[in-house]
Amino acid sequence: MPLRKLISSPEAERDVAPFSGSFTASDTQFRMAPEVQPSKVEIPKVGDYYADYSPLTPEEIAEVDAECAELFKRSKRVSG
Amino acid sequence: MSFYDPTTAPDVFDIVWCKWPKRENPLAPGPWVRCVLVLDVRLMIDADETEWAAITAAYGTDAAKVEKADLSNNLLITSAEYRALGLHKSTVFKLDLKNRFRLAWAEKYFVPQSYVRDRGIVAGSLNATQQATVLTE
Repeated sequence: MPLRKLISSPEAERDVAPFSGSFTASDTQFRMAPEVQPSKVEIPKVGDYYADYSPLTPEEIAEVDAECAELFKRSKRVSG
Repeated sequence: MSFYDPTTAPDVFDIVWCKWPKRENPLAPGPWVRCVLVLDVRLMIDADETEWAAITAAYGTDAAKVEKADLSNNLLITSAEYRALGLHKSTVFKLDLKNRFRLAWAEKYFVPQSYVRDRGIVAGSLNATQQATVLTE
């Protein structure tokens, strides 16, 4: 059975460059080519701010802004 | 301090965006905010008679960064739920006391969400099932 020709027109056949037998891009160049780079991770935004979903330690959470701590000290609870 | 009007304070079980604690990272592209789940709201009065709201809340963390063992006793917002709450991804709110903080309802600490009209500062509110999870933990 004859092999099926993928390029049927003689003009199209002439447009196909012969295989050169060599690959010039280095492995590094190949990996850095834009079309094979992973897409950049987009950081979600809230208005002009970036949303941070990273874990916090109890120490970071316990860190209270001095101005706010003073405010709590001098204020009283109104409702319960 | 520039307080928000206490009448605009979120309700318990609302999710809002908080600027504190600040993330100090010189390589970061800009200021950062964190999603928090409101657990208590109290009206306070300063020595100069100014009324303000005190917010107790728990921080949210990317669920992918939380150990599986930590998921059971906390509130997991799944991939099917997070959009309705104004979040960007599956999120875990740790409900233990060590993950809670208290701040004034003020511009210095909280920022309005910007993606849902007519919702003001609140990004979303837990549904009844999610609220029940918080109450039982």
